[in-house]
Amino acid sequence: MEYRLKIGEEILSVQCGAPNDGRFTAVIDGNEIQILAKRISSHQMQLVLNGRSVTVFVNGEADTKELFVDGRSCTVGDADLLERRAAVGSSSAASAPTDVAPPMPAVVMKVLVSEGDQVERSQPLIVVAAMKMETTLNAPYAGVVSKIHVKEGDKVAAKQKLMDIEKSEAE
Amino acid sequence: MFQKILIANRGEIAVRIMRTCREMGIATVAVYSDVDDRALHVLSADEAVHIGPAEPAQSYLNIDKIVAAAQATGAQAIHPGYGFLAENARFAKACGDNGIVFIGPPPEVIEKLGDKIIARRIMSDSGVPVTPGAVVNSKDDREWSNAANQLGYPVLVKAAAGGGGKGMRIVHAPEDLVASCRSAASEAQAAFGDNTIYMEKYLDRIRHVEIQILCDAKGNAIHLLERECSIQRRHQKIIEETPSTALSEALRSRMGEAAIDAAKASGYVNAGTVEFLLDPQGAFYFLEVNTRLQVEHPITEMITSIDLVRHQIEIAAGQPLALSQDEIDGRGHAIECRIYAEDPENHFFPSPGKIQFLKEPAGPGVRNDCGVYSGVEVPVEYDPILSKLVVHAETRELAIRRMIRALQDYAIIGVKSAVGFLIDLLASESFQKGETYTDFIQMNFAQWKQVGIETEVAAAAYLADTLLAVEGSSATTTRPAQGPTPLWQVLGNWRL
Repeated sequence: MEYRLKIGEEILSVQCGAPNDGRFTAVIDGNEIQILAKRISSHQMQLVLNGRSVTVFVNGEADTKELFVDGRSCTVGDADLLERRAAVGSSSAASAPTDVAPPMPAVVMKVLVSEGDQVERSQPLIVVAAMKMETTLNAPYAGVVSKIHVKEGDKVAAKQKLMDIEKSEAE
Repeated sequence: MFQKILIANRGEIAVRIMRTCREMGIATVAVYSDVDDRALHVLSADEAVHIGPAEPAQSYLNIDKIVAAAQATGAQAIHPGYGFLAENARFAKACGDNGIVFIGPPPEVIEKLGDKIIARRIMSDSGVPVTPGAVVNSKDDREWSNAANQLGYPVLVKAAAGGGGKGMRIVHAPEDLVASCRSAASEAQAAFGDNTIYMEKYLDRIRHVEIQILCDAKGNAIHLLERECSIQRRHQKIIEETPSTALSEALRSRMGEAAIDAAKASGYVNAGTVEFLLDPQGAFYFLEVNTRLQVEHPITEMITSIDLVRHQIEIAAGQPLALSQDEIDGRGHAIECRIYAEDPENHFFPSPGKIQFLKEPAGPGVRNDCGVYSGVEVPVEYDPILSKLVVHAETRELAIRRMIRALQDYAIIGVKSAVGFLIDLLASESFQKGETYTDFIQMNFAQWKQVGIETEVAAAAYLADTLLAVEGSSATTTRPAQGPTPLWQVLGNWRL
C-alpha cells in the first residue's frame, strides 16, 4: 500500500505491507522500519518502532488524524483525500475569510446592526462570547447588511456565517 | 459540624470541595444548569439540584435559586468555590438571612475588600505598603491626565470592581490616556456594573507573589507562606509555584506579617489570599485581597500538608483555628499548571468542544484536580479550565522535572490545550533560572508554535490506526460536533 501523508505542513511518501498480527514493515521517507502495533482502545495504541516503544493517542477520520505523543500533538492527513476535499470544499458553502463568522463555538451576546444598515469597513457588527471571553466581529468590507442569520442568545458554531453583507460597489 | 453542604459551583473546584466533605463525613449537594446534567461535579455529589438554563445569570449566578436549593435539600452551609458568587457580598448576606452558613468571610468584609479603592485605603491606613497610585473617581479627562502625570508613565488603569484583567489597560504615552481610560471604564461597566477606574504606577520586571491566610472568627490569623504566580497570559495566571525563587527567609516573614496585618485591618475571617507585587529590589506592594479559596490553593496544600477546604469548613462552623503560626512549615517545592481548553498557537483563545478521550497523569507527587472526563462536552458558557495539574518534589529542579513528566503523561483529545506549550515553558532556561516576571510569556513565548511529533512516529501511528481499524479505530467513533456534513465526509475514504 502506498500513501502520501501530510504531517504538519510537510508531505511524505510512505509505503507499507499488510499487517500480520499487528506486525508490518513500512518505508517512511526512504527509511525502512519494522513496526509492531497493539491497539489498546479506540484512542490508544502502543507502537514498537525498530524496538523502541511509544504510546500514541489518536483521534480522527481517515483524511486527518490528531496524534498525541508525550504531551505533543500534531495532525497527520492523507494528502490525496485532503486535496480532493479542498477541491470539493472550494465550490461549497464553506466560510471564506471575509465572512462575518466567529473563530470558535460561541454565544451571540449583542447584534450591533440591523438588516438594511449601511456599514463601514471594520465597523463592529456583532459581539460573541466563548467561555467568558468576548470577541467583536467587524465588517470585512463596506456594504449593506442584507441578512442577519442569528439573534442574541443563539449558540453558533466556529466559522458559522452570522450575517450577509452586500459589498458596496465603491470598494 | 454541618451534616450537609451545598457547593454553589461547577467543574474541578466543586469536585475538589466534595472530596474534602466526603472525608469529613459531610453529605454534598451539587447544583447544575441545563448543559451540566452530566458534568463531573453532578456525578460526584450525593444529591444534585437543577437550577436553570446554561446562562450563568439564570443558574450559577442566581442567588435565589441557589438559596432555595439549599433550603430544599436541608444543606446547612454553602461553599461558593471560586468565581461565580464566591466574592458576592449580596450572596453571602442572602445565605445568612436565610439561616445558611456562607463558607467564607462576612458580607461586609467581602464588600470592603471587593472595592479595590476602599481596600487600598484600608491597607495604607494600617501601614501595608500599596503601589504608588491615584484614585480617580472623576469622569474628567483633565483629572485623569493630572493623575497620570503625577505618577509618571507608564501607568496602569484598572477597574475598581475589577478582576481577571477586565477593564485593565497599560498606558505608555499621554496621547493614549483618555481613550484607554474610557474603554477601561466601559469594559468595567459591562463586566461589573460599575465604571469606577483608578490608576497605578506601572511597574516593570515585576513578580506576582501572594500570601495565603487563614483567620478564625475569634481574631486568630496565620499565614501559610507564599505562592509565586507571575507566569500569566491574558492577565490570568497559568503556572504557579511555591516557594518563590525571589523570597529570602527575611522577606518571606515580612510579607507574611504584612498579609496578617491586612487580614486584621479588614476584620478577615476564613481563608483568603493577599496579593502583592514584588519588585526586583525586594520592595512589595499590596495589590488586592481575594476573599475566597484561590484557584492555585493546592500548591500550598502540597508543601504544608494542610487541607485548606477542611479548615474553611471548620472555621465556618465556628471552630477556633486549629493551627498556630509556628506549626506552619513548607517542605519541598510545588508547581501547578492550569490546563484550560485553549489554543496556545492562537492567543490562548478558548477551545470548547467534546473531550473524546482523556488520560490523566499519575505517579509519585502528582495531583490532578480535574473537572472533566472522556466523553464530556466542555460548554461554551463557562470558564475553560479542565484541570489543575499539581506536583510536589524535594527541590524546585525535581519539581520541574516531575511536572514535565506528568504533562507528557497527559492526553486530552477533542479540545485544544496548552500541554505542549507548558512543557516548553518549564524546559526553558529562563524558567529554570527562576526569572519569572509577569511579562514572561510575552517576552519569551509570544510566537510559540507546537514542536510536533517525530515524523517517523507520526507516520507509523497513522498507518497503524488505519491498518488496525477492524477492531474499531478512532475514525469509526468520531464525527465533528457541529455544522452540516460536507460532501467529503459523506464520501469517506474513497480512492480513485
